[in-house]
Amino acid sequence: MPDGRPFGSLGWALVTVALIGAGYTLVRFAFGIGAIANINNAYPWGWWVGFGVLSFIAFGGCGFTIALLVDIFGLHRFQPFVRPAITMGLLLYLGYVVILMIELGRPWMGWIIFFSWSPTSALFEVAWCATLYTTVLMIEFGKVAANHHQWRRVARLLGVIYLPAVVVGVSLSHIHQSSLGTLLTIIPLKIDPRWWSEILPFTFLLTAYMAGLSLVTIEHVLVTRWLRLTPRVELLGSLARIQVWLIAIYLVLRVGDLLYRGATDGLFRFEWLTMSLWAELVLGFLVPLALFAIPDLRSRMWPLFATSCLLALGVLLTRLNTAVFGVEVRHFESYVPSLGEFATTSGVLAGIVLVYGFLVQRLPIHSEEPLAGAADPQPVATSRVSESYS
Amino acid sequence: MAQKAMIQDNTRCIGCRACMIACKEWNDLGADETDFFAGDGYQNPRDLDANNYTLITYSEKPEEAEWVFGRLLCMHCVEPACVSACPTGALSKSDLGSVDLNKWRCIGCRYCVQACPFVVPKFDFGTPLPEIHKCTFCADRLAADLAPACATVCPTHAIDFGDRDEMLAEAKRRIADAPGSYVPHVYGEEEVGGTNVFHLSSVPFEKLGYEMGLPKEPLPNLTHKILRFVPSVFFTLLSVFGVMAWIVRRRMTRMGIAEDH
Repeated sequence: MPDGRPFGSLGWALVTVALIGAGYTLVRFAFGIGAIANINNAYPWGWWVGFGVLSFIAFGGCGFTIALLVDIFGLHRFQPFVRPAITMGLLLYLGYVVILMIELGRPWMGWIIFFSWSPTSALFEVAWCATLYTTVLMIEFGKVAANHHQWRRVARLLGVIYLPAVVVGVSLSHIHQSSLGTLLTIIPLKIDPRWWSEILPFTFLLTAYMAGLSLVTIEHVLVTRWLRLTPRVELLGSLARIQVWLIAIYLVLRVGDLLYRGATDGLFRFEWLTMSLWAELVLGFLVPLALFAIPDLRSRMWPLFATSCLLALGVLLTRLNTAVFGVEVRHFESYVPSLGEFATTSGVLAGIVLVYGFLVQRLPIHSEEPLAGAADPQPVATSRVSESYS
Repeated sequence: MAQKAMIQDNTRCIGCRACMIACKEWNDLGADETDFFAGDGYQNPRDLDANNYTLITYSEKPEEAEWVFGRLLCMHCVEPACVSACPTGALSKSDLGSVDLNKWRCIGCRYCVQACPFVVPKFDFGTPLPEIHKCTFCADRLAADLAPACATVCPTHAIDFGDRDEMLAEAKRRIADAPGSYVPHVYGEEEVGGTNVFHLSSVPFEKLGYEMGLPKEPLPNLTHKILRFVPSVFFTLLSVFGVMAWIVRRRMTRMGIAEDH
C-alpha cells in the first residue's frame, strides 16, 4: 500500500472471511439455495432476511440519521460525522444489495420490481425506497470523492443537487426504515406475540436511529484510534444524549405495547426465547439508557464506545428476535441458521469493512487532527481535509 | 362473473387420492421419491410440494383406531395475503376466484410463502432455477367453463364445485341436515376473511391438522392500514424537511459559514 496503514493480519482475516462467503455463494448459484441454507417452506426467510436485510438496513441508517441532525435540524457541530456516516451507509446498502442477489431465488428477475405496480406490498415499498436512497447516498458520497479529486464540474453539479438529495433521502429513509417493520405485520400468526405488533413500523424507525448513532460512535472510536487521530469525545457525548431520549421513547413504546396487548404471558418462564426477550430489553436497551444517562460516563471515550456496542447488539437482537428467533410456524419443518447463511452474510460484512478501511485512508472522510505526540503520524488522506474545510 | 368455490367434504372422503392423480395429470406434474415419516399424519408425501399441488392427509382418531382425511390445497382466499405481499404482481386474484401465479414475473423473494396463513406456496430450494408452486384452481379449465380436475374425478362426491354463494349455502345445508355427522363449522367461510374452498369435517378441524386460530379479518388489512398512509407521510416529511433544510442553509449563508460537506 503506497500511503496508509500496512495491511495487517486483521486485513487478511477479513479477506479470508470474504472469500469463504464467495465460495458459498458459488455453491448456491450452482446447486440452489438449499445447498447452503437451512431456510425452508415453513421458514422461508431466516437469517438472510433477519440479519442481511433487516439489520444491514438498520445500521445503514447512520447516513440518514446524521443527515437529519446536521442538514435538517442544523446541528452543525455534528458535521465531522457526516462523511463517515454517508460512506458507511452507502457500503451497507450496497452490501444489502449483494445479499439480496444471493438470497433472492430468481435475482435475474429483480429488475421487474421497477416495472410493476404493487403498492399493497410492503416489500415493493422497501425495494423502491431503498434503491432511490442508495442513489442519494451515491450522490452524497460522490460529492466527497469529486471534491477530493478536483473533478470540478462533477463537484459543482453534485453541490447543487446535494441539499435536495439529502431532503429526499432523509424522507425516503423514514418511509423504508418503517416499512421494514410493516413487512412483518402481515404474519401475526407466525411471529411470537411478544414481537409481532402493529407498532413495528415505529419501533423499527426508532431502532434504526439508534443503530445509526451507535455505529457512528463505534466507527469514530475505532478509526481515530487506528489512524491515530484525536477523537471528538465531546461530540460523541452529545450523540449519547440524543440516544438517551431515543431509548427512553423506544422503551416506553415497546413496554407499553407489550402491556397494552397483554403479550406478557410466561415472561418469567425459564425458556430460551423468554431469556432472549429479557436480554434484549434489559441488556440491549435499559442498561445503555442508564449508562448514557450518567454525565461522567458520557464524557469518556471507552464507556461511550462500550455502551454504543451494547445498544447496537440490542438493536440487532430485537431484529433477530422479531424475524428469526421469534418466528414459529406450526408445520413439519424447523429452522436453525446454517453455516452457509452465516458465511455469506459474514463475507459481505468483511467486504464492507475492507472497502471502508481502504476508503477511509484514501479519501478525506475523517477531518480530525493527528493525535498529539504520535510518534510516527501516518501520512493519510486526512491531511488534505483541513484544506477543504478552511 | 360469479366467484367460483369448491366444497371439500372430508366426511365423504375415502382417501383414494384420485384427486391428487387428476391434479398431476392435468398440471403435468411428476412423481416424488418419498420416505415414510412418523408424526402427525401418515400421508405420503408428507406435504405439498412442486409435484403435489394438492394432498390428502391421513390422521388417526386417537381413541377409535379410525382414519380421518383432510385435504391440503390453495384455499384461494377472497382477500389473499400472498397477492397483497407479492412485490411484482406475479400473484393475482381472478374474477372467477382463483389465485393465479405468473411464474415468469416471480423474483423468488418468498414473501408469499411467508405471508400465507395456510403454508401453501412452495419454493424450490433444491435447484438453481427455482419457481413457486401452488394449486392453480385449474384456472385454465375454469376459463373453458370446466370444473377443476380434482372436482371431476372424486368417486364419492367429496369435492363439489360451483358458484361461491351456492357452495356456501350447500355446505351449511349439509351441516343442518345431518348435525351428527358434521362439526358445526364451515372452514373457509370466515377464516382470514373467507376463502374459495370450504372444508367440512366430522371431527374438529385441529384433529386434521388444519391451521386454527385464524382471524376473521383479512390479513392484507394489517399492512394496508399502515401502507395507505405512506404517500401522505412521505410528502409531509418531504415538505417539512425541505423547509427546515432551507432555513438552516439560509442561516448558514447569512452567518457567512462556508458550506462544505
